[in-house]
Amino acid sequence: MFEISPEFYYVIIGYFILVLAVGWWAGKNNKTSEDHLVAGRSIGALVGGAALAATQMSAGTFVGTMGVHYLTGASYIWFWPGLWAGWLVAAIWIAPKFQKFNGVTVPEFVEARYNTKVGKIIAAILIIIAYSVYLIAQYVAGGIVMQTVFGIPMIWGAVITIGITMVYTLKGGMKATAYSDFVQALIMAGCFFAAIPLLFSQAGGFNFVGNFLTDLDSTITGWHYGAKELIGFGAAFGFSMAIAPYELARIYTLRDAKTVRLAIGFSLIFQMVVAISVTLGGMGMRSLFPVLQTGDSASSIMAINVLPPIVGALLMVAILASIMSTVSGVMIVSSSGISHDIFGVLKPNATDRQKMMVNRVAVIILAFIPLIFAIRPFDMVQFIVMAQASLVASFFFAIVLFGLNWRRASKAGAMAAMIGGVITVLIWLFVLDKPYNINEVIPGVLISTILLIIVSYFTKPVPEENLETFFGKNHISNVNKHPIKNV
Amino acid sequence: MKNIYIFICLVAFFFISKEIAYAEDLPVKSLEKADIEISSDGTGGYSITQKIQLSGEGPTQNNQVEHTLTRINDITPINLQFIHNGEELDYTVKEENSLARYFLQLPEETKGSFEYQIQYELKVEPGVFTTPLFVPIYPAEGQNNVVTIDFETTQENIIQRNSFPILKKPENNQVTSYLMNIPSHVNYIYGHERNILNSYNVISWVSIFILLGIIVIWIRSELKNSRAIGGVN
Repeated sequence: MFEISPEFYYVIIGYFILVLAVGWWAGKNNKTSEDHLVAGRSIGALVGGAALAATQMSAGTFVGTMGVHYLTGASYIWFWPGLWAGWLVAAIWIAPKFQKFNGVTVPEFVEARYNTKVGKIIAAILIIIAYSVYLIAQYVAGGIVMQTVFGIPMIWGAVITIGITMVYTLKGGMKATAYSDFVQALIMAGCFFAAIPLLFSQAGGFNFVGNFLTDLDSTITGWHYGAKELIGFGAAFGFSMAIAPYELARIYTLRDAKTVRLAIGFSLIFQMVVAISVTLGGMGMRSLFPVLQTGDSASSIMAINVLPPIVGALLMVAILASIMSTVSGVMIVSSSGISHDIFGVLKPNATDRQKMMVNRVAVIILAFIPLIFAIRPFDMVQFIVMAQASLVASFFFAIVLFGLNWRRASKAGAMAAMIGGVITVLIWLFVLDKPYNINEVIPGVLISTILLIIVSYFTKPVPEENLETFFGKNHISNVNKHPIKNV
Repeated sequence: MKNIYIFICLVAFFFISKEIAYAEDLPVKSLEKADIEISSDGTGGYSITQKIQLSGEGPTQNNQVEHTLTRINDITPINLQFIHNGEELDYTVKEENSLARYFLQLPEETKGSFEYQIQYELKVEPGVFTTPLFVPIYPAEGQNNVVTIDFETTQENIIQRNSFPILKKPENNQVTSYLMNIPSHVNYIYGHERNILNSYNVISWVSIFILLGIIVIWIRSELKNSRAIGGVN
């Protein structure tokens, strides 16, 4: 339990009011599901880049990653280049083509490219389950932050954080999410410009901290992790990030292919600021508090005991912002999986108004289901949380990357890749028990890719009309083929 | 649709057929409580007492408890004593560039909980307020503030808000801080007058104004753009 300065209350309440106001303002002109789910494809590079960065950074970045740096030191920073390589793959081969497709959901791409409704539904179900359970960790983190600041029970803290996120997501959809993400990314990156110099001035300066940590444990400033481990982390994050559906859904919101590339560039700048700051933050805290029981508490202690109250409160708000931006992005993606992919298949003649209604109900339901599991976690939940990123990456990586760049990728090849990738991850994790300590996403993506290539060569190609959307000279967009009716 | 059922059954099989194995909790030593009193004479002289209570049955290497002491600003302790039940305990020191490791020799019969006191004095240069503290290598368990630091300086001095640990409210010449673990040093800054324009206040307000400024400029440009688009339509 922490003793908190009153400034924390003012800053956090002010932040909640700000994101609600931005959400309300952004969403007031939403009329169609295209407005609601892809922000009318109107988002520019700066806001889009901030939204991509804010969605990617979660409670894990500010609490978990800083905690890992606290415990192990600087070497863990080398997983970021792997993650950024994933972003570069997305910027070159995936995101601009995805944007041109002009879809609304990611499973919609699976159907359009591979001519398979079954594949679309499997993709939607995987996204809904994996991401809903993934939210549990975010809810618990949000609850703990609110408990720390306001002293309220964790579950009420989670309810308030999620409730506010749900309200602006419901009201403003993707535009509100993107705009609030912009504000959140500014706070996340901005707070560190004040926080890190202050932390190091209290810790004795950069030189002293470096020398102290080297004396304390030379691996903190040296190599705690070896090349094999770091390549493994980097590959795992890179594969996951290149095709993460909650990021791809945001690509649809951007104006054009050029905006997509610029947005990814801006996103990388935000990420670099946070990556370096989180590394320095963890190490600075280690020199001030050499023996904390868990590295996860380093960011809270830094906010409350080390930084001046306003900057500390901004850091707590940055943690909340990272949680809320991830939650809102996931809510939009999961709920559109229900309203547009599953409901759309079950009721092909559904109007836009009906889909929007289902979408809003889905947001509410999907917001509260993880809350139940956050209160009463069960074993399977922990497994899905652990495996969700690997499952999603192994499912989508090959079919998205090759689907957008290789005409020969067939429906049977895609089905084999999706199912083969997921099963490989499960076997690697739960039957083989992660041999050679290699992250499960690496064999998952490799097997999925091999299956896609081999099976595609021996099976019937996808009909030309499906390929025309992605490889045709005129490059007919999905929206032009299936215009969304105004309500 | 049949394919979907087969796929879901396969995935469910893997999840349900595996049980989670938790690492067994091993008994370890931990910091149960620490009460630290720091008294400053206002001219760079500090007198410090750290009352420490360790708990748990965990092993100690060579029946010793290791402590680190930062050598920030090249400050070294004077008249250092480790005391248990009124008796002074032996210790050895391993000096490194930026920290020193103090190995406290525990009495032979020591088992489980162990209480001791560290007493020392410091002399620092004028204008330096950094006060190194001994940190036993065992962390505190849980989320409670088990560490209490009482700092007192002479009456004509006022402790400033840009101290570390941060002050929650304005104080006079005395402050108590509650923490989850012992920091490697504290930095209670004091002076004859309250300094409102200290670096902390300036950086805090500048940060807030810059952030709000960027957000206001952005909102204005978005409004301008939407009006322009509305005008064209």
